[in-house]
Amino acid sequence: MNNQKTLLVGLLVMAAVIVLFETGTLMLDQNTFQAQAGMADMVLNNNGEGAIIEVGSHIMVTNKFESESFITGTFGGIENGVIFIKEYKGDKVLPFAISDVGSVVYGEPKAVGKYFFKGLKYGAIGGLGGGTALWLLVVTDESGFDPIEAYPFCVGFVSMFTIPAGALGGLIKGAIKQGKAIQYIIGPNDWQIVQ
Amino acid sequence: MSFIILPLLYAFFFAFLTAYIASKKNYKIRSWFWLGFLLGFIATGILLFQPTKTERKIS
Repeated sequence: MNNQKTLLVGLLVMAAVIVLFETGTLMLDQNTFQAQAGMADMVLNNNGEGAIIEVGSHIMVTNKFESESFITGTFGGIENGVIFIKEYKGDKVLPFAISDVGSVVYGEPKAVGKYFFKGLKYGAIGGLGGGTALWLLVVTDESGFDPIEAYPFCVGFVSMFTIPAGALGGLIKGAIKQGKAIQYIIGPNDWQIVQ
Repeated sequence: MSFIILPLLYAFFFAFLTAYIASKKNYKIRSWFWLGFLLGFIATGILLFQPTKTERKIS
């Protein structure tokens, strides 16, 4: 019985840590962001009209000389005339010279799909967490249910609500973000990167 | 770094889950813990379909 309690505690601790990691509450790569915290936001100007792209925003930068060449990722900041962009996958930080920038797309052009799957993932995690909580209530209540048989039912029941809710939330968030994508064309008569 | 940590967390999650079910079904806890760690949800699935062992009583 003591063994079972230890295993149950281990199981719950692991589930809690996974949820913290997957939701981004706990991040291991924080040093990368801290190193970039001192970098400046991107300031754009077009005949008195200004725009600021904050560090950590999602951007796409196209090359002035090769229109098919572009970089997408999280904006890391500007330093000495170089834009730093962190790739979505992996920790690689790519430099891009300001003089080579053809246009800057601020926002997320493919946000709907991305946030939909993100919402599904959070829904599944929520279902797992909520299902485990419900299962613990059922098991500790001594309701006569077999704990092993009850677990998939509890997770399945809670997931029935959390997964569609997560997917819908992601879809709405993605649609909003996608609608907000703005393209700044860089040029002498267009937008200019001031800083 | 997270690409190592997250699979390890999932491995330990399934290891604990499989070991817990094994203890409920009177199977060897340590063996099923490592099976759960290495095989993940496959081991949990296999164990869920196993019949519950009755405890042997030494007279």
